[in-house]
Formats: sequence, C-alpha cells, structure tokens
Amino acid sequence: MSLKCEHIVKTYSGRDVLQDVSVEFQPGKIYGLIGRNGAGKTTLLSILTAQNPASAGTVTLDGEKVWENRSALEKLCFSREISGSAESGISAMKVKEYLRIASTYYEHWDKALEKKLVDLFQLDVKKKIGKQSKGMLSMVTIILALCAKAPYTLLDEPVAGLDVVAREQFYKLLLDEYTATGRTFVISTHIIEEAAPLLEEIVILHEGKVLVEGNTQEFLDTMAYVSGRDADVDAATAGLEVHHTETVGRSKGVTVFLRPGQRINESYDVTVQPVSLQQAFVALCGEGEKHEA
Amino acid sequence: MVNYTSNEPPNRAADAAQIRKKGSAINERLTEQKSIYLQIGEMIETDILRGILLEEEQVPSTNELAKLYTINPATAAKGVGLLVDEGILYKRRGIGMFVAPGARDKILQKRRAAFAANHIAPLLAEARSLGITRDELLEMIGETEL
Amino acid sequence: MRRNLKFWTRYTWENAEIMLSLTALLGVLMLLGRTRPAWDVFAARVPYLLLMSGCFTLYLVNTSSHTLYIPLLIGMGETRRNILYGFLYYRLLAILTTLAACGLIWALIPGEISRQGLRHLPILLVAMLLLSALGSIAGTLTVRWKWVGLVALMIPSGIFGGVIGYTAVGDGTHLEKVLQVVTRLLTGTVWPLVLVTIVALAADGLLQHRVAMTQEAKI
Repeated sequence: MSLKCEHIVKTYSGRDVLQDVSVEFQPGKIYGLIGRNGAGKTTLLSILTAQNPASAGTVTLDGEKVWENRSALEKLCFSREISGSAESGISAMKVKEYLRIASTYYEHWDKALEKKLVDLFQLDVKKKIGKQSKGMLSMVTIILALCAKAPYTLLDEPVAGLDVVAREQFYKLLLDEYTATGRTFVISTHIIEEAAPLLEEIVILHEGKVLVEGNTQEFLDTMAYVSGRDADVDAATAGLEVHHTETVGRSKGVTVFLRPGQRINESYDVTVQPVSLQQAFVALCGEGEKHEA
Repeated sequence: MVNYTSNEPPNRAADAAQIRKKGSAINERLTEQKSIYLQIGEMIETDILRGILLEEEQVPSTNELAKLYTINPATAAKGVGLLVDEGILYKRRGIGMFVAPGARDKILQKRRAAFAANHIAPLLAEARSLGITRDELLEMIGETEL
Repeated sequence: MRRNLKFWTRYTWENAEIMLSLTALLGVLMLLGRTRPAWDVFAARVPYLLLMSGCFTLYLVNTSSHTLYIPLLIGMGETRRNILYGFLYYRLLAILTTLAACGLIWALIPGEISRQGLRHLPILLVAMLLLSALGSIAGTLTVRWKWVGLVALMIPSGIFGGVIGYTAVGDGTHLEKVLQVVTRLLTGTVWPLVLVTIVALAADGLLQHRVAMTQEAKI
C-alpha cells in the first residue's frame, strides 16, 4: 500500500533531469520534497501522477501501474503550479471555470470546502487566471489540492506566492485536512524553515538524484553542527563526513553527517548543536559554499 | 468523563484561552535548538509541575497539540509517548491521555536528578571560562535568594 | 468515463453557443442584404449558415482542445486515452446534432432547397468529418510545432472567412453560388471524398495518440 516509483529516468533534450530515482510514499504521512531550483522536483511530482511520461522506470500505486490507469489516477491529485503566463491558453480562463472542471473530474470534490476556502482567501473567482496575482494563483492551487480529497495529494510550491499570514493559514488548513482524513500529502517547498515541523518524512532531491529519504527527525539526528577552536573541531570530527565548513580566524564550525555507529568525539572542547532541516539542507546541497577541510 | 478544572463546559477553545491566561508552558514558543518532540514533552511536564495540569486530568490531544504548534501530529504523539513511557501520562482507551497519579513527584525526581548535569555543569563551565573560583561561586550563590 | 463525458458534453454546448451566435450573425447579415429573400427561402437556407459556422467552430476549436484542454485534463488525473475518446465524442456529438438540426429544419420547410438539402445530408456528414479530422490534425501539429499549426489554421480560416464575408455582403444569391460550387464539388467526388475522409480520420487518430502519449501537463 504505497505510491512508489522505481528507477525513474527523465531526459530532456539529452540532459538527465532525473537519474534513477526510486522513492516510496507510505499512506497517511506528510512528506516534504525539497531540493534546489532545477533539482527535478516538479518533474518527479509530474511523473508520479502520470502527468508527464518518464523516459524510463515505473510508477505504481498499491502495486498497480499508474500510467493510463484511471482507477489508480483517481486516488492521486497533483495540483500543479499555475503559470498563468499570457501565452498559455489557460490565462483566459476564469478561476471559477478551472475549479468547475476540477470538480467534474475529481470524484470526491468537496464543494462546501471550496466555498469556504474561496471566502477565506477572498479570491475573486470571476477574474481570469491571467489577471490573478501569483499569490492568488497559489491559493487556487491549494484549493484544488484540498477540495479534490484524493488519498494521495501532491503540491508543488503551494506557498510560493503567499504572504506570511496566508502561509500560516495554509499550514493550519493542511493540518486540519490531515488530522481529519489522514490522507497522504507530498509537498515541495523552498520555505523549509516554516514547513519542516509539519513534515514527518523528507525526500531531498539533488541534481536529479535522491540524496536523503526518510523520517525527518531521524535524519536530523544524524547531523550536527560542531564549533570551536579549529584544531579541536578537526580532532573531534576526524573521520566523519564534514560539510559546509565556516572559519573565522581560529574559530571553526562544521556540519557533520554521522553514519551509523559514528559519533563526535566530545572529549575535545567543542560545542555540538543540533541542526535544523534548512541548515542540514544547505550543508548538503549548497555545493558552491562547500569548502573541503 | 473528561475532567476539566473550570466550571465551563468542556470547550477546548475556552480551555486553551484559560491556560494562556495563567501563562502556561504549553504556550511557550518552540525553539530550534532542541528536537520538537522533546520540547512538547517538557512543556507538558512543566505544566504539571506548576499545577496547570493536575493529576487525573486530561491533557490536550495529539491533534490539538499539532494544530497549536503547527507541527506534524506524529511529532506531538512522539512527545506524548515519551511521557507515557515514563509513567507520567497514561492512556484511557477511547478518551485520550491523562496525567498519571504521582506524575508530579516523578517529574520532580527526574528533574532533580538531571539538575546537576543540566544546570550546574554549564554554570561551572562558564565560571571556569571567566576564572571564577569555587569559593567565589559559592559566595555568589550564598548571596542570591532562592 | 462518466465524468469525462460530462465534461465533453458541456464543452459541446459551450461551443454550440459560439456556433449559434455566428449563425445568427450571418442570418442578420443576409436579411440586411439588398434583396431580402422570402421567409421560407431564408428559413430553408438557415441550415447552410448553421453548417458554415459549424465547420468554422469545429475546425478552430480543435486547436485549442489540443493545446489547452488536453494538458489541462491530464492535470486533472484523466488518462490520455479517455481524453482522446472524449474529444472524439465531442466531435461526433457536435456534427450529429448540427446535421440533425439541419435535417429537422429541411423536413419542416417544403421546397426545392430543402429537398436538395435532405438529399445531401450523408455527404455533408462526410464533409464535416473530414473537416474535423483536418482541424484536429492541425491542432495536434500545433502542440509540437507552433508555426506549422498556425499556418495549417490560417489557410482554412482564411477560406472560411472569405466565404462567410462573400455570403454576407451579397443578397442571398452569393450564398447560392457558393453552395452550388460546394455542392458540385461534393457530389461530383463522393467516393474520393469518402476515401480521403477515412484516411484523414485514421491519420488524425494515429497522430493524436502519438502526441498525447508524450504530452506534458503544463498549464
């Protein structure tokens, strides 16, 4: 019982956007999909829901192939980011129309919730998509995702255009839905700091590959920030995988990734601090800032 | 049934508001320096210590805690689970989590046991860094009212 | 499939509104002409106006279906196969209801125009199927190569526009002339036309399938 992709490859004009990606999404959990721009997040979400074809690999839901399988697709909802750019035909469509089409196709569409959310976000549904602000379009994306009531709901950058108040509203709504229905959510986001406490599981995608997959807390328990006098820090972290070294004079700080059985040697005079998901992500994926010790 | 300290009907929102007035630990903010589930556990403990949550009284549900802090319910459940393992909370099937009899004493003992490691050790470390001698430190403590 | 057909049925009626307003416009232009035709003659000619606007909308709408609705519906979790079936259903529904309306009008109004119209219904069906297939091919090409699709759209649109304009400025005799040419063209080439239509429909189906299976749900 899960949404699973195996050995997914996606190539765009000779460039591998996804390289052998295998991930499994268990029912009843909130997943965070994080990665830098161009890491392949949107492509992966699209392939998981058969909205884009993969170049290779398979996607299955409860063991059944998802591609061209209506009964599997009915259990999935990937609410895409709406670009609303003038050249796409959808810019001339009213929000109302867009939601009506969604309500036609999604079997369990919640009309009452739709009305509630439109009021909450003060959305002008009679306005065309091309005339809506980025924030308004994010709200449309959120409304579709929540009202479709699909057992697996995937959201791509749902809070991208929202101000801090609307983002808080979204997190609360997400929790309301999640606690009420226990359905699975997969959320890609760049605002990691805010979303982190909501994410039971995380998948970090880096340059088209899965870098981390697992329980958020367990992942964070394998990372630590060690700081102090440079020689002490080096000694305490000898033999460990070190990321993101920062030095100021004799003072040094490093983020370490501990493999099973490894530990920091605390007999040296160093400070060991936990890292947040955002700090861990920057340490692992901030290639440009990586200094090898 | 559910035991609430106030005479009001068991209205969660009203109850939460009342807790807030009393300045409860549950309404403290989360910090980034510690795992969230540990903080959840500690906040409930602090409320029990301060008598904000009484023994045999129901504690907020996992979902309520999750919504209060905007955290994943699994994280809240882990924090609550920690206290259940320690015998501070216990589960009443189909109703929820309650403060166990003798919970306050347990927390007191636990925190006292950890007091040296959590509070004296950093104090001594700081004193060492500042060159404060043992006698000077004792004198300072002697001068401070408890 | 039920939800899919519901969408495409509504889509058909939405396009029928465009078609009917176009017909109304042509009708008004015809009535405002120099010599206003007699009412029964006018009424018997209305089906032709209906057919003209029908062909025009069918052809044009097919492009937006491919570039807008197909990716949109993929995004709503419908299978590509079902979307293509739905699209085919829409085309048949639009063609058959248009022809049924024409047939009904001709059956109700006596006269030579009506008799001829009724006789031509089968060939009109073939012609509409051909046009819808060509429109769909143009639309499918637009998904891949924007310019090919645009050119493929502009030529027939120009012809349609020209015919409609020519008809509108005349007094009804213009329409008569156009119809005579078209009728001669259609009735003189029945079997080649049927053959071409079958080929066009097959080509359209294959092309659509190929493109739809690799299409991405960008909106």
